[in-house]
Amino acid sequence: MTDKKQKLLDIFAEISNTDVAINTETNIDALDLDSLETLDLLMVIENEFKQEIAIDKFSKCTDIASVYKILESN
Amino acid sequence: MSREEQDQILNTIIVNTIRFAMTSDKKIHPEKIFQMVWDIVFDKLYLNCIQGTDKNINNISFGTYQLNVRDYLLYKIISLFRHYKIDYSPFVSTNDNALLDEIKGTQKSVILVSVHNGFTHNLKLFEDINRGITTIGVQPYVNQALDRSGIKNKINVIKKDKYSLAYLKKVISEGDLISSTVDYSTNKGLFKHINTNLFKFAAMNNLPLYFIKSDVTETGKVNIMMKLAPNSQDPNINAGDYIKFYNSVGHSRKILVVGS
Repeated sequence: MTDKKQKLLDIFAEISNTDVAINTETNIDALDLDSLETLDLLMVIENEFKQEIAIDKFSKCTDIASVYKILESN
Repeated sequence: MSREEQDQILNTIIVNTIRFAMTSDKKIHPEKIFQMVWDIVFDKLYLNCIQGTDKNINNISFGTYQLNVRDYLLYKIISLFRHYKIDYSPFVSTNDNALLDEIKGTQKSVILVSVHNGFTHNLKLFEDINRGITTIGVQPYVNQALDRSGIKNKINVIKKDKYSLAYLKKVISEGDLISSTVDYSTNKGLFKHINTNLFKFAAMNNLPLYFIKSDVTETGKVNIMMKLAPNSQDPNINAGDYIKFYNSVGHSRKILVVGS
């Protein structure tokens, strides 16, 4: 696993703070994020990777792998 | 008499008064119909049906939204007006004109927080504002509330879900006026919980936050009360201050608590 992917998983784990196992297959809905946590998540991703993920794109992501795919394609 | 029976009586009184008004004068002004209906239901008939209820008591809940008697009567009347295609919306005004001018005058986004009452009364005050207005809500209810309030201008509605604040972040760069309810219910209970997320969002983005309260007067008009929130970075303190504000001004009171 790349450092970038691991860092993304760590961010999800930190923000979601749930017992749900975090891996690339994790369903984002299962994390039960509220709107502030979602905003936090996007801001931390932007800070860490210096890349902005548009909310229109993020809202279509079903799992963490699809978020990673956006980061890779930017 | 059960609440359902009271409700049926109220519907019958409103509908019959509307029909009487419209058949007795086909060119009757909608405002006059409203005044006739309001006078009958508020002053004379309906309140007498609520046994043991003083019409000045304002902590009566109709449904989960904690509507008091006046809120509820206004909601019922305007809903039936929409059914009969009567183009009347509540008259809205404020005594807080300095704050109104302050909000209208700034080019920066500000956030107005309020609680549910079946309307979006406060937006009526900002119809002539020269920048966008954004609200957060659940469809179709938010559009119905805008319609009942007589808001004709286009309002940007952000769906209330886990993406709301991320979408809201986009509109603050455009200087939109943001207005949202902050109360919610759990397990289909009363809308008595105050969500602190919007308070935190305001602090994070250094946006002025204004507390809003709508009161329905004895004549069926709406008075908007406003207050600039104290400059606290703690969303719990700000949410608590909103509750204190709500329950210290105007005539209506609600049971409200910070968070779940």
